[in-house]
Amino acid sequence: MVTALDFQLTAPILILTLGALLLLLVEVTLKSDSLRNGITAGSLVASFLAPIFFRDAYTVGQTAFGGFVYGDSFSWIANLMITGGSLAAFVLGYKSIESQKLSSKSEFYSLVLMSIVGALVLVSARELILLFVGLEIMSIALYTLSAFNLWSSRSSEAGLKYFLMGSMFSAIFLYGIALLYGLSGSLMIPDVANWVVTDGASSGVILLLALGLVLVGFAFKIGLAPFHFWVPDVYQGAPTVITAFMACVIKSAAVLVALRGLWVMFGEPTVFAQWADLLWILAALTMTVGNLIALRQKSLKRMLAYSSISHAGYMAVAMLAPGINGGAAILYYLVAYMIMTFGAFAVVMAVADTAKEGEEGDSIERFNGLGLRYPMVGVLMTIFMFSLAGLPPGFAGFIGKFYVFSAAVEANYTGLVIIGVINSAISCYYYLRVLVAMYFTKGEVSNLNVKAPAYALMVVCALFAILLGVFPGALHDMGVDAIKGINIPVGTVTK
Amino acid sequence: MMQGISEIFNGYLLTAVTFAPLLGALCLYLLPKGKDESLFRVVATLWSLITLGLSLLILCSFDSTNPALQSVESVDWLPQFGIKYGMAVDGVSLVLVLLTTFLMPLVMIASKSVHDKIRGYLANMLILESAMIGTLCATDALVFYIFWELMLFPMYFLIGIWGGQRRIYATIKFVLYTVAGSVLLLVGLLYVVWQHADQAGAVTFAIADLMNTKLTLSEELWLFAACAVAFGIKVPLFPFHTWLPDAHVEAPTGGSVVLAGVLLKMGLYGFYRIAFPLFPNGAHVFAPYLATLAVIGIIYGALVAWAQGDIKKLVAYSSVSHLGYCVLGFVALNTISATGSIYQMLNHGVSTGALFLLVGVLYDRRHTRAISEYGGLASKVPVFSFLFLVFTLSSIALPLTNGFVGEFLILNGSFRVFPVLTGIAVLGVILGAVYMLTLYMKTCFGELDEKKNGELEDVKSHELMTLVPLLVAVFVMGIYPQPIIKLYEPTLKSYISQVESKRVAVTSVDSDKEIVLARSLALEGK
Repeated sequence: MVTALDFQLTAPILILTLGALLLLLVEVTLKSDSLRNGITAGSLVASFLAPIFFRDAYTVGQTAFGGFVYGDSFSWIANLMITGGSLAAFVLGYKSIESQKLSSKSEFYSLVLMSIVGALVLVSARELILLFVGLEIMSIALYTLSAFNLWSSRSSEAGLKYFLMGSMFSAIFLYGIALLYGLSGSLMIPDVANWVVTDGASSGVILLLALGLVLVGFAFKIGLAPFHFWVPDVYQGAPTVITAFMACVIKSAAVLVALRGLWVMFGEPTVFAQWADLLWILAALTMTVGNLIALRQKSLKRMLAYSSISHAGYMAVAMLAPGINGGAAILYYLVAYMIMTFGAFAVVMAVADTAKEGEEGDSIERFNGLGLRYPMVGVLMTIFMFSLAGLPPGFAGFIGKFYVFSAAVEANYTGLVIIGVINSAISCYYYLRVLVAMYFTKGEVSNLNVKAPAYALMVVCALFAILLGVFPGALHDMGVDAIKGINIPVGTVTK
Repeated sequence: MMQGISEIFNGYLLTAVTFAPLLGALCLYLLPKGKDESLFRVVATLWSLITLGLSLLILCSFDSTNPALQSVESVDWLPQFGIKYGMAVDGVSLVLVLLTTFLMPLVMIASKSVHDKIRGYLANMLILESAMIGTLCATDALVFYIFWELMLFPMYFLIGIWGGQRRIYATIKFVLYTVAGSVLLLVGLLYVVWQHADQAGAVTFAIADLMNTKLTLSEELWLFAACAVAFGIKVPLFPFHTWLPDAHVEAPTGGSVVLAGVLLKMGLYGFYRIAFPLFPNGAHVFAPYLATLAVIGIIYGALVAWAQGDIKKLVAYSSVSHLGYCVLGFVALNTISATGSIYQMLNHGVSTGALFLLVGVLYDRRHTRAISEYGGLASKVPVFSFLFLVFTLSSIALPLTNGFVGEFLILNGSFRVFPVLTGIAVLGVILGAVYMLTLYMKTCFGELDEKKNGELEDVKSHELMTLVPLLVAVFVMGIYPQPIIKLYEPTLKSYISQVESKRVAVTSVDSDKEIVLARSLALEGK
């Protein structure tokens, strides 16, 4: 029996699907830029407001469509993060999309909206096949989007690479789901979780294999080392807006689904102990590989790609601490990470626009002398870089790291935290290198012209990066509230 | 009347002192751009004077006979983690706050030699002042840590933008060294916090509560080591000192003054505020090693200083040597030596700060700091040479100057605890005299090279304005140290007995093998 509640809980998904279809219609009838932008912006804003409007519908244990979709606080916050991030990406990119020679802009936007739909389905799915469908909707749209710059061989390479590797890991993930179904006899996440609690510890190697495959599938989407090889190429090859979109929104979706899926299904203490070591290694590797390779990058876009890998590593550290503090830490970190990454990408895009035809837009030399010539942009970028490095005055990044490391120390992973903080110190080098270029090096860039929407986005991001750090309580409370409702198997929830 | 003014702040006087400079920095950016440079300088100086005034208000309301933390402020910040925005001062932090607020107006006046992007320079200085005062006043471990890290970035820009030839190398080295140290400090603090939460049932970051955490000896050793690396880098303790000469040489004059005057003291203050009270047993075990490193620093710093051909580098290495005395006095942890250690921190701020200002005076005129470029300055620039002589003597601790009081107390007190090490440290006093007097001789005596230094101007009025207060401080602190010592001695006395009592208390509670070892060490120390 379908009720109004079902539609309220899935409103963002429905709105965006409708928007995507409308855009395709526009493409064959009226080819108007403003109409295109209007539809995209309208559906994005509506999908962002819908969860806020229907806040009361999201309650503990709530589900929609016969239990196939989650409707709890975690789902609420996940919806907000994904739609909010997408909205930011649109604000960041629509001006530059207008000026680009894309073959079909409506298709472009339609695909973007589709990938958001996929991400939303992914994070709300309560059933494993639906979850997989969400994953595929999201990924297939992204394969196309990364290859969208038809005239750039890098872009085509990115698309192909992403597609080949992505399909393989989707298959691996699907195999994991199949094994889980075989073991537990159900595809519903709560049923699988119940089965793991009662029979998991005694089921031996098959469960381990299944959860290993699922873990690897998630690790690929999040970009955890050693499954990160696609990230730098795809991030550098894709149009920069898409890179920002993937680094923020898609990565968040992957982290959110992994957080809930892994903790709820495999959080039972004896089972958790079996994969905790594996995750420990992944986290340590991811932080270290991401940071060490970022040290040597000359392209800022590629540097941000590797930095995003290392940030995923920090979040994986907190994933070792199933429970309220660990979960709230990851949610806070995700928001902080999205804010500072969007801000940094906004600056990188604006600076890349100063490149003349045939010049490399994203090389770090473009930043030379920028901070003194354009003080406002300089200050904003400084805040983002300090925030990404986890140093005051970029407070959100610092508090995020504090929450993450604090949760891991609480769960007795002090060794991993030491690796984490050493990495965090290493990362200072390459983030500060941007500041060295901006402030300590002479340069001749003089035609920086930041478009109003991107400027507004930078300012908002910087304000949030500071405000969220000075008053982190509200967001953290929301995170606590969300994690309380997700039913991590008893015994592992700390304090 | 003073009471009346303090009441305006309604119990938030420390917050006012901490954030006044930050407000000043904002104020600078409200001024119209492109205006006369001197306007920025006046405004910044004014704000630093306001801060000085406010810090004097703390002094007025401070009860020096009471060893406890005073002017306590506490506001919930992250209640889930029991983190409070907590501020308070005791005697030791008060004198260091006063040193900071006393030096900053002088730095602002000295900024007259900076012409490039003056607004940013002054704003960074003011932000730095806020961060330093905040670090000194924080009573909550996380707030302390945040202010501690916040000190980094203004200094990073000060060296990076207004520094010398190799500024980028120097500033990155400075930041990486400091960050690498302080991240370990963060892990250490988190570990203690969660141990404490397990024992007490509630999470808190208040340093006063964390002191009651029960830790095994091996935990304390690890945690103390983590802190010691963080704070040792800042001091800087041999062998973590290599960032200092680079940073000093490349920093602009004002940056060097702040670096030597206040920032270096933060390392020792960290030992005082965090490492020793939280991990007294670890501190006890490590004390001889720290003292050894300190003495190596004293001798090594002095020898390297002797070999320098660059005046600023010489003064920078002399800092390594002088800070060695402070560490030695502090880790000996008796009332006399620790009193001397804190006093020596103030002295070093005054005399080394002044020496850096004097180097700046020379550099502004000749754009070189090579000792060989100078000679016979006494006949050409008498006022400069006189001031240089006074601060040189103060640096080598001649009686009646401030340096003497500090070094005497340190050596006197440490001798009872580390007789051999102190014996070696005394050699450093002699070496100090050697390299400083050699420097003075080479620059101010001998023949004047007319071609090079014939046109040299003597100290100008604004330079005098920065140097005379320091000159007065040298003699006041050297002849009549009592009022200053009285401010922090009660605090220090109760601090030492508290650290020592906790050392015994912890070892007598538990009974596993490690603790037996701790007890025997504690007895051996008696």
